[in-house]
Amino acid sequence: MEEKELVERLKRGDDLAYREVIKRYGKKMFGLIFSMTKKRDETEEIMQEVFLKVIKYIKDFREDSLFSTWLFRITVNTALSYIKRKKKKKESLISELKRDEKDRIDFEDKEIKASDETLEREERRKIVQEAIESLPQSYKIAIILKDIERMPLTEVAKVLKLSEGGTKVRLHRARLLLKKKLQPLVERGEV
Amino acid sequence: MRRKGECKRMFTFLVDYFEGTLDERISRRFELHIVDCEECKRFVNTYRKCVEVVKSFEVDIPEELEERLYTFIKNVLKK
Repeated sequence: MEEKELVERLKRGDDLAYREVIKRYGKKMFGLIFSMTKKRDETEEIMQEVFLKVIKYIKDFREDSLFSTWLFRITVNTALSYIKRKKKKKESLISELKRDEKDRIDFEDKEIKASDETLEREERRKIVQEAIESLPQSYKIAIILKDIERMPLTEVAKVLKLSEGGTKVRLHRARLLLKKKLQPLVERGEV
Repeated sequence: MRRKGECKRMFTFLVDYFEGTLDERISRRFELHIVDCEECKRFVNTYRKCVEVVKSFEVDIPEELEERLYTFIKNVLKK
């Protein structure tokens, strides 16, 4: 299905068109949001919020940009505002935060498979994940969109509302920071 | 020994170099520079490796989440 047709069907409220959006972009959306929240339940909540916005605003979508760019801009903004809301809530509920963290650790523990190979992969994933996680949010989004989700630079620039030059600078700075964090491991051949 | 300024100029081309969008002439200059400059060569190699490591990092969307999302959307559209 061409993007134009997809958008027309979304505008008509065709649920199968939404299924197509999940099929085409769901994985990227999930990866992006999960890298920002680290929690599956929150990622799902945010994805629902994103789709509520798509349903509400698709009629206003003008095809002067790609649908995917529009969708990812909504995804980034929704995730950032969710995290901000959540942070405020957490600050006033310290005990709940501790319980949440324990739940998260328990959940992650269950996720780790027993075989050595899987453990190694998990360990490597954890190292990279922690390095990405420790980046400032704006750097993290640039890295995820460009290097992990392989979006073209022009599209990343539109999602970030930056010029292409500005996006290159941000990406470069993000990679430099990441390099600083991963370099000792890269040199020891651990990642 | 290379001038620091030349190394600095080379760094500004890194993103384009990895994107494969660098002008052929500059790309050649870039490659010649990193052949000669040990420090830059080491830097580019670890930079490249880090980008590769990050590129291999993917998260899979759980299948059941796709289904739940679709059900959620269908319910919203029905209202």
